[in-house]
Order: sequence, then structure tokens, then C-alpha cells
Amino acid sequence: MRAHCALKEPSRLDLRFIDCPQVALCYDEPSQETVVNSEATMKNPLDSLGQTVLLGFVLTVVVHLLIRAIA
Amino acid sequence: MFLTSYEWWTFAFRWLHILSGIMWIGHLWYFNFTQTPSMPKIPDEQKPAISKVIAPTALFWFRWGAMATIVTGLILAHLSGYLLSAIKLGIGDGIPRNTAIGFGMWLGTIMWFNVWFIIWPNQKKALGMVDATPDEKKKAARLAGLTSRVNTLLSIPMLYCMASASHYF
Repeated sequence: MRAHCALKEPSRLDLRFIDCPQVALCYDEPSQETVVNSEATMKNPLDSLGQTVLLGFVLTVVVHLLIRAIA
Repeated sequence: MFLTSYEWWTFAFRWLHILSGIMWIGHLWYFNFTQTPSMPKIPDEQKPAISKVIAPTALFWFRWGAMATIVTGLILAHLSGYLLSAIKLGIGDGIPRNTAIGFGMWLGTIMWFNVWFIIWPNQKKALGMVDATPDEKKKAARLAGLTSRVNTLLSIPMLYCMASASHYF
């Protein structure tokens, strides 16, 4: 992941002053390899108990709508 | 004599269904909300207390709770007269209660299948109750854990269906 220096893109600002030629706000732009590797090592949402419960509530809404649609 | 009453037996199986359902889902949530997140915090020398003593006992009541829940549930649905309608999700009957309980029954049946045919066989390998190589144990523990998480996910809409069939729809 390369650190980029810019005063643009405030939503992606990261206060890390790495490799910046001047004192500036930096943001990270993932390289193509990083993106690919991130996807390969992406965790299963079921590894997170919080996400599991959240998905359970989402599925409940779906089931409720299905019951309403069928009955 | 209440023992000859059809209504009493219907209620008795509803009561047994709730008891066994709490036994099952209580253990499912114990595994997912308490035991699994706590394991990394337990010192290695104390981990056998969980894996050799508590987990096998909890798994026993967990899987037999699942079996008792599905058996009493099917008997209850039959006695209540909605078994077939619920199996076909109330389609064509126009009874929302049967559709709701039908979705709950199918979700519960998927969860029961997961317990007996995925989680339990793989937990036996992971806990060393049957012979398995270290690699097989690792894969079995991962599959059992993920399937248990799937059941935790499904338990939320399943209980919604069960409760809403009687109290909402």
C-alpha cells in the first residue's frame, strides 16, 4: 500500500506523515496487488458474531416479507 | 380426567417443545456467545477442562435437545392440525399463521440437519472423540464452527416465525 500525499479527498484522509516530501495530510491508495490480496484473505462474515446476529435480523425481515407475500 | 383430553395433550407437547427448544437453542447460544469467544482468553493448560469435559457434555444436551425439539414440534403440529399446511408454507390455504409456522419449521429442520449431520460428526473429530489427523481436526473444527454460526443466524428468524405465528399473524 502506497502512501499518497495530497490535500484532496478529505474523506480518505489519514493523518500519517509517511513518505511525504512536505508536511501534508496523506491518504492510502491500495495497489492492485493489495486489492487482490485483500479479497483473497477476506474473512467470512460468520467469523464475526456481531455480523452473524446482524445477518439474522436482516434475514428475519426477508422472511417476514415472504410470509406477507405468500399469506 | 385431563389425561384423556385432546387439548391437554396438545398443550403438553407444546410445553415439551418449548422445554426442549430452550435446551437446544440455549446450548447453541452458549457455544456461540460464550464458549467460542472465551477460548482465546483461557490459558492453554486450562483449555482441556472445556474441550474434554464441558464441551462434550454441552454437545450431548445440544444435539438431543435438537432431536427432542423436532420430534415434539412435529407431534404438536399434527395434533394442532396444521402439519401439512405448514410443510407447504400455507400456500393455497390463505392462513398467515400456517405460513409463519411453516417457515419456522423449515428453518428449524435445516438447523436440526446441521446439528446431526454436520456439526456433531465434525465436533467428534475436532474434540478427538474419533481418529483424525491434525489437518482433518483443523478442517473439522472450522466446518463445525461455521455451521454453528449458520444455525445462530437462522435461529433469529426461526424464533420470529415461531413466536409470530401464535402472537402476531
